[in-house]
Amino acid sequence: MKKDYLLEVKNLKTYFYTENGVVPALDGVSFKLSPGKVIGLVGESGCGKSVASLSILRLIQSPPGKIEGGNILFNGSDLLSINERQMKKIRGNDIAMIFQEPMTSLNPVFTVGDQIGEAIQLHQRMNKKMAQRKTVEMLKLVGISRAEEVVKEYPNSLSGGMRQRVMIAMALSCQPQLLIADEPTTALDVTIQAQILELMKDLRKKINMSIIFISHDLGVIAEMAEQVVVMYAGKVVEDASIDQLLYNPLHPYTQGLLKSKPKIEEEKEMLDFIPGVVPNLFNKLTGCYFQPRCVKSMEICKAQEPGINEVYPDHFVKCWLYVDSKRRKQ
Amino acid sequence: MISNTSTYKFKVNGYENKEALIKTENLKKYFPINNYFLSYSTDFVRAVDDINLSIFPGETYGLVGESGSGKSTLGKTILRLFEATDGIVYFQGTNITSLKDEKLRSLRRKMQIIFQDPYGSLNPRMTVGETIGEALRVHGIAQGEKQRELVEHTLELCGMEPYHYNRYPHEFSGGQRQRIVIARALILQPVFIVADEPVSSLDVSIQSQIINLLKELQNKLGLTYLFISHDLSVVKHIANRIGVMYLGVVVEEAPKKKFFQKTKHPYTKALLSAIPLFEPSLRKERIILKGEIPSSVNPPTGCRFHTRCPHTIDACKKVEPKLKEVSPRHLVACHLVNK
Repeated sequence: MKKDYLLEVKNLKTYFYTENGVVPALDGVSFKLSPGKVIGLVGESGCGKSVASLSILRLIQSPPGKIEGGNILFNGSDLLSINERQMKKIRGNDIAMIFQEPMTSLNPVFTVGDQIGEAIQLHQRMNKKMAQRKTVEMLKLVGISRAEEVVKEYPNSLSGGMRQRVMIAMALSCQPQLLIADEPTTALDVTIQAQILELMKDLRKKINMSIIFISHDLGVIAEMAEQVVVMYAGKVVEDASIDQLLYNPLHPYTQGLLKSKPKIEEEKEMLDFIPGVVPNLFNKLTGCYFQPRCVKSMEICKAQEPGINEVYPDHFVKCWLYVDSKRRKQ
Repeated sequence: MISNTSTYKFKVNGYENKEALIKTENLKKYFPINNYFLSYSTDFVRAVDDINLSIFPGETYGLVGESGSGKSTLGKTILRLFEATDGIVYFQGTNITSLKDEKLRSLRRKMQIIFQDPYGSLNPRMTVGETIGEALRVHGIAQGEKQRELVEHTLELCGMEPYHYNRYPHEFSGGQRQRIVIARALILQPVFIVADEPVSSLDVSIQSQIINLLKELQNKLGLTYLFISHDLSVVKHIANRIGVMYLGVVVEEAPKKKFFQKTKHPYTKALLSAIPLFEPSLRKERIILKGEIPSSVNPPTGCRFHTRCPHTIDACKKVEPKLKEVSPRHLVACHLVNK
C-alpha cells in the first residue's frame, strides 16, 4: 500500500522556540500525495502552510525552529532520519521548490545561466558546456523565446514574470519527482499569473511530476489542484478532492473562506466574512482552535479538540459537527 | 492665479447637470530619469499620460490595472501628493493644481488617502490615539478632552473599541490596523477618499470585513471613493463605475454592469479571462497575453497595447486611439471597436 504514495506526511510537528515562548507552527499535520498529482495547501497567513513545505525539505532554520515529531516518507524512506549529505542529494534533485518572491530568490551577482547551470552541474554531473546547453533548453521549455541571450543576463534586467519563469526552469532542470510551489504567482499580475499557471499545467503533463501547490487564493487552487488540504492555526482542518471541497465543504472554516472570497461570477451587496482574527499561537489554546470564530460552535468545541474523521470516502474533516452525539460523550 | 470658479458644470458621460466632485483635464505626471552625463533629464517615466476622468459625488470609481500602469500615481496626483507635470485637477469645480499654503491645507482636510500596507503606514512609536488625533491638532480643530472624544467616536465608527486609544500599532492584526488607517483618514470628515489597494495585503476572511466597512461608511457619511485595485473581483463588489489603465492611459471606462457584460477592449477582456474561477463550468477559453507590460519610459507607438494585443492591425501601430463613447457612459480606446 505504502508504495502508492510519492509523499506521505504523518503527524508532522514543527515548533519554534522564541524568546516569547513556544509557537507550534505545525501541530500534527498529515497528508498524502500520489505520483503525478497536484495537492493544494490553503490557509490564511500564519496557518503554517509555508512551514510545512520548508519542513519537507528540512530547511527550517534551527534555532529557533525544530521538527519535533512525525514522519515524512518520500518514496517510502523517511526524510527525517537520513543525514544532511543524503538530504542534499534529494534537495533540488528529487524535490525542488519555487518561492513566492522571484525578486529576492535569485542571486543578483550571478547570471541566469550560472545559477541554473550550477544546479545542473551539481546534481546531473554534467560539465559546464553540457550544463549550459541544458540551461538554454530549460529556458525554452518555460517559454522564454530569447533563451540564448537571457542566459547571459543578470536577474535585475528581467521582469517579475520572467524571473518566475527562470525560477521554474531552475527547479525543473533536474526533473524532480516533486515540485513544491509556495505561492508562485502571488507577487505577479493577473495576466502574468495566467501565463505561469498555464505553463505549470503544461509542464506537469510533459514531465509527469507531483506538485504541492501552496496558495491563499482558493481560485488559483481550484484551477490547479486535484486534492486540497485546508490548514488553520498549524493544523489540517479539512482534506478532500477539489470538487468535494468546492461543492460540499464541511468544516465551518472552509465554508467561511469560500463564502467570504469576492468572486467575479457573482455580486452581493455585502460580502460574507469570518468574524474575529486568527488566534495567537503563543497562547495555550484549548478545544477546537477555530471555535472562537465559528458560527456553529457548541459546548464541546470549547472543552475538547476534535479528531480528524473520514466523513465521506477520502473526505476528512476535523470538526465535532460530524461526530455523532454518542461518540462525542466517550 | 488661474481662475478658481466654482460654477464649472461638466457635461460628460450622461451626467448632465450633475457636478463632478473630481475632474481631471489632460492630467500628466512624468518622472524624470537622471542622466549621469548631463545635468538635465532626457528620459521620463510617463506614469500618467493625458488622463481625463470625472468622479461624481457619492460614487465609487474603481481603477484597475497591472503594476506599473500608473493607477497609484494618478490617485496621488489628484490629491496633490505629487505635483502634476501638466493638466488640471478640479475639486468641487475649483482648480486645485496651483493652490498654496492655507488654501491647500484646508483642501487637504477634504481629501484623504488609505494606503495598501497597514504595517508600513502607521508609526510604531505613536499610540493609536496620537496617530488619529494628530490631524485634529495640526488643523487646530480639537485638543485635549475634545480630541479624545472625537478619536474614540471615529474608532467606534470603524469597528474598533474606545479603549484601543492608548494602544500601539504592534498590538493589532493587519485587519485591525487597516481599520485604524481608515479611522485616521476619516477623522477630518473628508468628502473624497483615495483607497490605494486597501485590502491587497490582507487575508481573504479579513478582506471582506474591510470592504464591507468601506461600503458601510460610504452609506453613513456619503463619501466618494477612488478605489484603486489590481483585483477585478474586489472592484466588482465595491465600485459603481470602473476604469482600466494600461501604461499611463485609460483604455476602457464603463458603469459596472456594462463593464462586466459588454466588455469591449481586448486588454479588459484578457484581464477578465485571466481571473481564476471557482466554477469550472463557467470557465471560458482563456486569453493568454503574450509578453510583459512594456516600459513606460518608451511606450509603444500608436496604441500602447498593440505589442500584446491578439487583434493588432496596421493602424494600431501608428495612430493612438482616443477614448470614444460606444454607448452611453461606456468609453473605449481601441481602433477595432465601433459604435
